[in-house]
Amino acid sequence: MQLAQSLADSLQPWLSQYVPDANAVASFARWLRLLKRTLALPMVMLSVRGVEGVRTLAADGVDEATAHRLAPLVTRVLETGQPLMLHELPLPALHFYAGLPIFLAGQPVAVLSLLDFQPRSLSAAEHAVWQDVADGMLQTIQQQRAAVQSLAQEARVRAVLNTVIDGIITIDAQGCIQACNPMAEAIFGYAAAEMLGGNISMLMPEPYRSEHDHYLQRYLATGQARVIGVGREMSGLRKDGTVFPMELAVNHLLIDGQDMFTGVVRDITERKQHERMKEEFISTVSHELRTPLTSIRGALGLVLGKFSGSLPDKAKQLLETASRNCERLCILINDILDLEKLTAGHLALELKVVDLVALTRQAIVANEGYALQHAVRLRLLAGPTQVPVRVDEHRILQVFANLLSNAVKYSPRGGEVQIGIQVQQEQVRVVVQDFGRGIPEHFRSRIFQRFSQADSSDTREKGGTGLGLSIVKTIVELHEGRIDYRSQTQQGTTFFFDLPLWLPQTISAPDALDAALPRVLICEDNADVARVLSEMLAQDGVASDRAATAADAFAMLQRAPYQALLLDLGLPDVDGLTLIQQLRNHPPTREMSVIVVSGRAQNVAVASWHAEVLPIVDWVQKPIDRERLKQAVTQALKLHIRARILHVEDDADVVEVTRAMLEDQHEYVYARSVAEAREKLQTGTFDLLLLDMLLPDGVGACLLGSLDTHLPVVMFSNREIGIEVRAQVAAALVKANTSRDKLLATIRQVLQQEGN
Amino acid sequence: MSLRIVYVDDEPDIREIVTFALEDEADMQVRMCASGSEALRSIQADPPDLVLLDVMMPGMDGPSTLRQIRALPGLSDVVAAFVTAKVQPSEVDEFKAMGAIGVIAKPFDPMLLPAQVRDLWARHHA
Repeated sequence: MQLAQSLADSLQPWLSQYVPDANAVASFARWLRLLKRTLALPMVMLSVRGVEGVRTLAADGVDEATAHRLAPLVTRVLETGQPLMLHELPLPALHFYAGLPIFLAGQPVAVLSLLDFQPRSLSAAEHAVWQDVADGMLQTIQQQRAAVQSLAQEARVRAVLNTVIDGIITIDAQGCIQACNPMAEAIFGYAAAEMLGGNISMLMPEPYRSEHDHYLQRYLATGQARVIGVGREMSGLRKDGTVFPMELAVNHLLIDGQDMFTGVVRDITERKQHERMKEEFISTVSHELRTPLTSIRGALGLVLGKFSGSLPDKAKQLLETASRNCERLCILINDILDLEKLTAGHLALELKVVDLVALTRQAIVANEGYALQHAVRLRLLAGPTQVPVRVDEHRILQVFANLLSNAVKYSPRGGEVQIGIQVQQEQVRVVVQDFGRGIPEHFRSRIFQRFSQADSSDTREKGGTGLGLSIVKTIVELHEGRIDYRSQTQQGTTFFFDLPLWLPQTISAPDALDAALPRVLICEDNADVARVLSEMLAQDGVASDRAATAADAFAMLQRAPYQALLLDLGLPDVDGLTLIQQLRNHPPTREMSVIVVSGRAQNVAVASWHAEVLPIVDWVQKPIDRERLKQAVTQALKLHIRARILHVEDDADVVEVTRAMLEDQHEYVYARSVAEAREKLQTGTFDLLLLDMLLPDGVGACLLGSLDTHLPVVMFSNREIGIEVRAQVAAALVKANTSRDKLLATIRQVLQQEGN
Repeated sequence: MSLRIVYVDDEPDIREIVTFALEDEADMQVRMCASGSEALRSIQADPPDLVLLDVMMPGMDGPSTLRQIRALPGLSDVVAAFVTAKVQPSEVDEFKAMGAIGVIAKPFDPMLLPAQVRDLWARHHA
């Protein structure tokens, strides 16, 4: 009833101003003529409630003056909602009036009146006709209203479509364009008439054009969507042949059982242009800033490096302040550029499976120096011993560096920063907790924004660029992780970030963590054979990864160091022998030891061929004999890693321990002083130099400048070395933190890099 | 035998820093050029072992200088590296694709510069 009421309420004002259109006029005339003839009446009329009194909508035989005189009677019918029949009328010539109210939604809205010069009555049949005609006339009115409403609706929709800034194109399942809005015309440069009926592929450049029909068919058949239901960037083709970047979102609709697609197209030429300009701007600015900075940093570095001894203490102190701030400015510029690259998605992560616990330890060691300066201790809480994650090590270390240095900065002197690792179902949480003054709650919403620090005086007091947490958040999110914190005033702050746990997906996966094991690559298209090989190798303490195709193998060998390649010859993409040739032609893998594992016998022709192209260590025929394989691999590994190492170290105990660690894998020679080291370097050749920092006759680093061959150096000292020395050596280890495995792995890695 | 280097940079201050940074190194001899065209003349007259080039220079920039040096008779194999602030990975890849043996990032630490140059040279000959 309420609905009916509201319908009537909405119809009433419309009806009071209703002007019948031509259709309605004709229809009313027909109805009235029918009524007049059937009931043999001289006059009939239809009236509605107008704005002021009643209004005649249609009449047959009734003049205006008569209608006017009859208004009070019509009003009475409308007001009472009851049919009215009279023989005494205010008009002397008339002796019959009958008024029938017409109801809409329970409300009397119109009156159908009958008039005669003589008094008369209406039979039941005549009454029924009267009622039918009244209903018919009401229907005519409603039809006209519905038509007006739908026109208004359409006009509104059209107005919206015509004014949106996106191009909108509707196509059918064959890709035939059914409709488009003016913006689509503007974007593509076609008039609507040129597009309608054409195929949507006319608006696409290759390769989208050829793919498109196939794509719609596949979507309809399988529901596989690439743009449907999701927006994506692609290229559009204008009438003039220019190709432009656009964003396309497509929706699938069913209209009258027909598949239709609506594409919303946005021209993003301008946005792309802005992005490009921004990039250029940043590149230019960074260059313009770095040019003077190069001079300032250079001048300060030279004065402090070369004339430091002859400077008055005060002057030296001031220059050091200048130098420190210059470094800070360099970091700031790098941070800004980093953030820009990160947020613009230009940074490709170099993902590797690593042990997060080891990485955390590494981060703690790297930041211990900074913590010491602030008299703060970094402590790793007891937790899991090994947690595999697939991350970009460098970037995660950057996350640690930010979180740890923040925690240290805001810790009281003598305080502690606790680092915890918690495995939770499919993710791992890293927690960094300080016991400092806490972060004010009002700062929460801004903490991960750029250039934000809780207290504007912080920048000066605490150092830092205000970009750190913003970078951290971006990096964590790029790893599909999340970061947040909890804080209590005067109690401390806990930052935590979650990373997805890496779950083994390939046969060789668990070994990926064991960096100390020698590692080989198995190139084998049959997964079962590869698994067997991998298991056999694992039993002999050799880790392995698998590549299923020659192309994969080639790529993996370029990326990571492997001690040997186990190669199947029948590969899906190219023949194994071709791969060997490719490796041979590519410097980093020229010396790669290859063991062929094949069902093919090693025939004479192949033997002579491989003898000249590459040292193929061995040829193991399938089915694989475990002992035969072991022998071949052992041989290959021996060829690879036995190196002559010079260890410069004055502490006899350290020499003994290190000798014990290295002796069975490498040739170990030591020197007790810088002078002795120089002498040994002149008289013998070495593959690697293991160097202590503090020696009786000088610092180990002073050897670095005088090494005339490119001898890789691993610093092996009591504490973390400075960044400048670090930049000149292949690796740096702290004695107390270095296990045998770590030392061997580092040496292997460095030799491998140098070998490349 | 010392390493003969031509360093090309339009910034006089940076040329000065590089001079200071390398002048005490017994194994290096450096001469400075302030522009690509000066470098072309100097290198043609007396080819060095290694050319170090700034990238953004007015007139002829570093990459075009390198191309023109390589077009000179007998200098198609000249060994060159860039000293530049343009060290985004894509930029470094571009420089290497031009045939540069490496890139030294600006701002550099002048105390480490000799080692960086030696390192570049050694790695090229490794």
